[in-house]
Amino acid sequence: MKSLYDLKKCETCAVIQIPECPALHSLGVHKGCKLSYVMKSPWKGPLVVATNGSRELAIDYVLAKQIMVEEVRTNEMP
Amino acid sequence: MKCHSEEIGMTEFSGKKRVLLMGNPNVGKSVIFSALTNKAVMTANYAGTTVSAYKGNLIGVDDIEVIDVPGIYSLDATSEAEMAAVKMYEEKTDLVVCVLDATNLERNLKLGLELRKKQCPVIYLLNMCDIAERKGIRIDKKKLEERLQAPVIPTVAVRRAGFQRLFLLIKKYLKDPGSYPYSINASFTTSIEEISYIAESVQERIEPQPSKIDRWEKWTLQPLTGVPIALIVVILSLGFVVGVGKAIRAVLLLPLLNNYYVPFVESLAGLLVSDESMIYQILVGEFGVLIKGIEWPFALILPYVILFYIVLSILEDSGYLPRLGVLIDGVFKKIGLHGGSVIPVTMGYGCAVPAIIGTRASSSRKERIIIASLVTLAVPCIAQTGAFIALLGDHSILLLFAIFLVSFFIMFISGTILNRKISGVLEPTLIEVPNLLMPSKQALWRKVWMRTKHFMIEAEIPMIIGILVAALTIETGVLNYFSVILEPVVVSWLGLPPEASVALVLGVIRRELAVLPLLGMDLTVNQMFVGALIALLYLPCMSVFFVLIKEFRIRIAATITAATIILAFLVGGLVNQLLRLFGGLL
Repeated sequence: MKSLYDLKKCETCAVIQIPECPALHSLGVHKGCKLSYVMKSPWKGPLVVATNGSRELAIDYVLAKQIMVEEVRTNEMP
Repeated sequence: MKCHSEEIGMTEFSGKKRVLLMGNPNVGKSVIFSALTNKAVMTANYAGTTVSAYKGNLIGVDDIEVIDVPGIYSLDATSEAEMAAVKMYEEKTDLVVCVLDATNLERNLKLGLELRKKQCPVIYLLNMCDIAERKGIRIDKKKLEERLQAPVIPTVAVRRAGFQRLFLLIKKYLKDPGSYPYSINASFTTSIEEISYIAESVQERIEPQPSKIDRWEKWTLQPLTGVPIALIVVILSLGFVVGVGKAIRAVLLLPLLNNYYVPFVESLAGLLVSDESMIYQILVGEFGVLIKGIEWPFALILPYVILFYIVLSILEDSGYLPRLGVLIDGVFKKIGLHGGSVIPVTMGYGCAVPAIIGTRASSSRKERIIIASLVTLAVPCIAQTGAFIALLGDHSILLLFAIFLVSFFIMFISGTILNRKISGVLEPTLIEVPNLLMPSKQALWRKVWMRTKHFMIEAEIPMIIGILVAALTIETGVLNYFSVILEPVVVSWLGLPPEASVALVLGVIRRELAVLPLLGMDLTVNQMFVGALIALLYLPCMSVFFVLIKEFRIRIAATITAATIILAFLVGGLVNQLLRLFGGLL
């Protein structure tokens, strides 16, 4: 288990724990959802992930550090 | 700025059949609203474009009205926008048209299913099917209809594809509610598992070959390529607006004005009144209404306005701005803003009014106040930028860049101070990054036309009033009176000639009027720079002041206004004293 912010290039993960944040849920980030690394913004900017392999979402680095994930292999992706 | 034709209150009834156009933010609702009602509508490729609900009649049907509801993610009513949408829904809804983003079906289905659970017929529009296909997502429409127990229409809103069936179904279901092919009492669960199951069971994914746009999507976000792209975009935008604008003025507008229009109105005025009379001076003199009333708005400002709105509309419709927001989020945080605030700030370079209204999409009141303050204080509107180009750009392009650099510097310092002084916390950044799109030419020209028309209506009348005030104050000698009163400030502190006080008086009416009178005053480079600096920071125009009152109440509006005046005189004076001390700019 690691934080979403520690996700590395080309990695995909499944969310296993998220902080109380209704906006995250609204944007499709919930327990069990799969997120793929897209990029990390400079100067303590947000982490950009792709939700379900398509839409991109920029998540604050503070929030990303509170989201716990585990890595999944790409062939486990739906 | 009133972008849509009719902004509605939450409890307004008309007795007509009511169709609510609902969906997540940035799924294309406003484009669809425009197509259904033929109403002028402001659209853009990012979340939060529509911050108020709007209505219009379905084309050709007077007893059916369509309401464009601001985008929401669920009916949980946890945010202000959601509460307003739920209230609107509960007041009266005969049919819901729920727009789903085909590239992000799972997330969109949450609201989609919540709406379906209500006792009201729903038509689903599966929008952005073209982009979904490009991304390798194929959705089985029939399966989705079965799962949702409702009609599903695939659409590509920007190309108006799929709308004919939508028109037919809206009319059919409202005329004969019994013709709705499914039970409106169908039971659904809206659990994450159920939503995931539906989404996965109706869509198939294949790994697509990355297209050119996919590559650009990547490049605009990666810091290594994104930062240079951002710089190139800014330089190209500025070059286009300033360069092409100056060329249009020099080649077309100024010769037309100076060779044909001015001699014509001068001879016309000479025929009507004596050229020694005050009326002659008011009509065609130094600040003659018939000359300056045409020259300033049309020959000096309008080319830049149109060109800027072309650039802004391309940036908005392509979906580039939120990407820029992601890149600079870290820097913006230091001044109490999210990267997403780059959207209202950029809009402020056009006009502060829509920029301030656009802050309604911000996540906190603190952020709204900071954006509104910065836009009011240090972001020149395009009309004022046009005046700066005429004053400084014609002399030295470096002076023009210097003013913009000062503007960024003041924004940064003021934002940092406001971030510390205003209570409240900044919500964590969550930016939905839209797909990059090739802007539609038709939508682009419609937006440019809407904005330019609005500018002409909003700016022309106050500008003519301002010019008339200037002509009257000069010709009646009132200006001399003002000059004597303001002399210690204008001459001694700011280093400007006494007649520059007319710019300070007119600047109350519109921001560019704080610059334009300086054009004919034979100023030194130092004076031009100081004058431009004061104009940049000086009072917001009247429209901005009234919008500030509407959005934040009088206390905050008055505080922002007072701060701008104090800062303008303080910074202007200090810069003048420093320039004197160190021998000036040239």
